[in-house]
Amino acid sequence: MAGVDVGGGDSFSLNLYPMLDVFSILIVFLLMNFSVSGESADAAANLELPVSSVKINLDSSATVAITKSEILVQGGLSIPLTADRQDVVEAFKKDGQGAIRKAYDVFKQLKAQNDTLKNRQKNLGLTNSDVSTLIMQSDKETPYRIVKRVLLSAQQAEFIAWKFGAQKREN
Amino acid sequence: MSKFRFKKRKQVATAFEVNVTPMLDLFSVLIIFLLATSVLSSVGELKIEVPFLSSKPPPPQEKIDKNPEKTVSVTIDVRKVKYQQATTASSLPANEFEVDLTEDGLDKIQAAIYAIRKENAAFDKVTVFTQPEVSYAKLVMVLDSLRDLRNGRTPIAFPAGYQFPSGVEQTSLITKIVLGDVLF
Repeated sequence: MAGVDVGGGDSFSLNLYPMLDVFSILIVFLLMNFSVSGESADAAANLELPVSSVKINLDSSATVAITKSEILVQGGLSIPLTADRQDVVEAFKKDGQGAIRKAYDVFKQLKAQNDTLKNRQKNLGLTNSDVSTLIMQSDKETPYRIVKRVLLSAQQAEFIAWKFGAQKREN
Repeated sequence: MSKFRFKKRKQVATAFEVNVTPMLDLFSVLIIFLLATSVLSSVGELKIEVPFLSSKPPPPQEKIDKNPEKTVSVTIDVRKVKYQQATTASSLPANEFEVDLTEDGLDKIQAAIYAIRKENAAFDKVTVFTQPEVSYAKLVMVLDSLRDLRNGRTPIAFPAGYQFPSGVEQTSLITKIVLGDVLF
């Protein structure tokens, strides 16, 4: 037991057993709930995901995040959604339709990378991972017209399978 | 008196203590690691498809009439959801109704799709059309109702040999959700 000699010969002993009990319970709880497969919800600032009854954990793939202020493609390209920034208005304005050029270019690059990866995996005799599916994490208030334009941009680059991210509903 | 004399052992009061300090150190490190790496609010996924134009010619009308298939589309508006059920054979009646975009309204749509699944377990696809001003949260709400069974409905097994798309729960009502308006 941890003890401190206070000088006069009396040994002051700190009882660590209650602390140990608490730690044990906490460790058991954390190990039971431990998950390394789930993606963190805070993928981007200004992003509040809707709640869903979905049970399957989100795995890792190329991610497109539509936050309150911007579209983030694969964490790199940022297309602002605020109307005061001229370079972004193209994606945001009401009459804007069709694919978003900048996003399309990134998706096209991603597609080329995926094809290279698939070929390498094939040559090595490995099973193909699901690289052709993209993840969409959108803010719950995002209007569908923006979501649609991102989907269309990816579709033009031959990405047709998506996983929509949503916050798991607490049971 | 016995010959043998036993020596009375001196009783020494020795306090036996387990040194728990290293264990405590280990526990502290483990707790910090688990707290830092665990995902407390995890994110789930909903599998969606976007239509892709195919150059494959459509099957001949006679073949369609012989094996008619039901097709279901759901149109989401800001406040309403329209359910449209049709068949590939023109002789069979169509079904169409509109509900409020609420849990109760969506339950009616789920009931209609559930009835089709009961009749034909292989039915697995619904096409969703969404109006531009509908929020992502409302879209997810509708997608949930197409997938997640409610109000005591029990899962209907898909036919043997059915290939589940990856990332789809086997108890889902519908396994293929297509966002039909992306191209149009």
